[in-house]
Amino acid sequence: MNPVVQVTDLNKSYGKFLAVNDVSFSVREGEIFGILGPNGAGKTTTLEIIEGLTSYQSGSVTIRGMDLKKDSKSIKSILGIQLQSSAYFDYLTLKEILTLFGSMYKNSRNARELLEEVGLGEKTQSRLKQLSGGETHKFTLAAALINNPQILILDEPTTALDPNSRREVWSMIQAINKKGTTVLITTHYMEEANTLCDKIAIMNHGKIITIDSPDNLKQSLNSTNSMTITTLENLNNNKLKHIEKIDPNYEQIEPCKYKMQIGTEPGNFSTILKMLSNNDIEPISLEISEPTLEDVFINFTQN
Amino acid sequence: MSLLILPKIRIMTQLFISNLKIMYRNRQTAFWALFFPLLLVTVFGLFNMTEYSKSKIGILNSSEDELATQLIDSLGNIKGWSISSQTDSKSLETDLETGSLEYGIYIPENFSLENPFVTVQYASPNDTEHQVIAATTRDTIQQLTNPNYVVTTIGDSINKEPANYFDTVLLGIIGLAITVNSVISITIQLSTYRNQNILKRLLATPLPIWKFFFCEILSHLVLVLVQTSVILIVGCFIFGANIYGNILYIYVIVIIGTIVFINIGFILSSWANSPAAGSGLGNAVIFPMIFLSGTFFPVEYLPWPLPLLSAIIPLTPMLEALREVALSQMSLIAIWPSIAVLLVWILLTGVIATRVFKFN
Repeated sequence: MNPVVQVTDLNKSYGKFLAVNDVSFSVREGEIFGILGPNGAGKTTTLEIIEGLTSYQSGSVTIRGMDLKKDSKSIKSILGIQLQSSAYFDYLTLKEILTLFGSMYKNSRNARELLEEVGLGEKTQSRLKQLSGGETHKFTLAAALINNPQILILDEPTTALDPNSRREVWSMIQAINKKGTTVLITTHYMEEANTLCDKIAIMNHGKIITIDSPDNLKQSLNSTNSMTITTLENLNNNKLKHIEKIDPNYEQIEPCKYKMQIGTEPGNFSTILKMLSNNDIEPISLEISEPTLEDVFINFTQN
Repeated sequence: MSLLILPKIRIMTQLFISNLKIMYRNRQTAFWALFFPLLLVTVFGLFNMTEYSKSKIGILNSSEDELATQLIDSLGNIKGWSISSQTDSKSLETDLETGSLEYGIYIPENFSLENPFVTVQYASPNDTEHQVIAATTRDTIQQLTNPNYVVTTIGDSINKEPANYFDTVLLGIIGLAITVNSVISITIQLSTYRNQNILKRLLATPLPIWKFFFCEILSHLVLVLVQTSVILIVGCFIFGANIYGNILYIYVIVIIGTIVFINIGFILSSWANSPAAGSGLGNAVIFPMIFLSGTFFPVEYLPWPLPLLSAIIPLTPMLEALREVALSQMSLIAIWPSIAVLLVWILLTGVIATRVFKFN
């Protein structure tokens, strides 16, 4: 299947500073593709190039087979865009703003219906400054949907939102995606990337370090699940030998607390529990941890 | 064909209506756009500027001839002259030196039909006015000494109604209102839009950029035409200003001039990093322009080389055109040099604006 968005060897520099360095990736139809990276990694610059807002020195961007430099107007008509920070006209109501933006596209949606869809049906006559932070984000999302876009580009869509509002926005993005809209999103929230994205590109210092699905990225760390047990008293040498058999590199992280790697294969956990029980090792608490996307992110960005 | 045009009209109409709504709802801007010019109209309207603007002439009569008395009576009847009789040459000289008089007319002891000569002394820096005073005095004497003497004037000015200072300054206030509204409000508005990423958001749509500029100009023109009408109505009907020329010509010049100043606003907004900087930059450009272009007083009073500078700034030809049309009843064709200069300014500022304007 041809990618919906194809970015190839993209380069953008500001003077000597290389903001985007040989970036290549492709986004498939119906996918939620996330660009994850710390502040200043080049995520927004990459998105703005795709949106036609920023020029680039070399490389190519094609969207649905159209070249960005040649078919900018056609491309803009199929993109829905939510900028990282964007205000709208202060003296217009929400409905008037959407009607104005709708008039800029050949095919636009009904402003009132769209506002109802994002939960702002009661606020059609309100002005932007009268909305809460969460409502403002919902409105900017609605503005991005006014042209019924084929590709929705969201730049840090939940920054500065409280957890409840963030989850509401996630649900909306997932609902939009289920209807068939391809989503390209940047974020620096691990949970957001993990929850929303089918594929993640980790970006740092203008470069894409790795691209894969969240699960594959976690596995790529070669890390395993870890088990931490807490006992009533410190284990004697005899019992510690049995722990060594489970993980020769086990750690005693605190008095009476031992952490060991137990692999990721199914069945490991019950085998280990039996072994502990057979050797009179009876933990008073037990904790299993999986590798997180944060581990992946820190691993890639720190290296 | 019409189906192809409809969406384009829809964008323009929506942009235009939205701009008008923004201007109308931004009451503070609308209030100041009208309040400041009207305040000036009131100030100048309430002051007796007509009396103030008269040429102040002192006459020292040393002759006992009846002709001298007739001459003083005739000069006293001239509109725009404020005549005072002087008793001795010393006090006349003192008044000229201190500026309380601008001209002194000395009627010598032997002044008579056979010897109808007077001396005119100038204390005003206005060369044009010197010639007018001297010529008018000479004509008055010739009419008295030779009853068949006919005063001839040139073409257009034969039937010219007398314009007073307030008539002149009212058109200056229109120029000032246009300049402030176009330059400062456009600069502040666009730098605000840029700072809030509104321009960037517009750039992310398929909207052709020229349509955005066109609708900005169009909606500002509406405000300027309202401003002009309010100033003219208040000036003429409340404070008795005179407009002798074709009112439609005034609006044509206002539209042409406004486009120049809106373009200047576009240029300045590109250099302003914030609305506050935009306000400062706008003021720095327009206030010298207002004083150099003859808004409140004639350019001839400016010291050299400021009149040269005045000749090249766009407000000068606009005010000249407005005054020639409104007060001298000239047609648009007759004032083509001023209009041509304004059109060149539109072209020049338009090219610069499209080159330097930044959306991000």
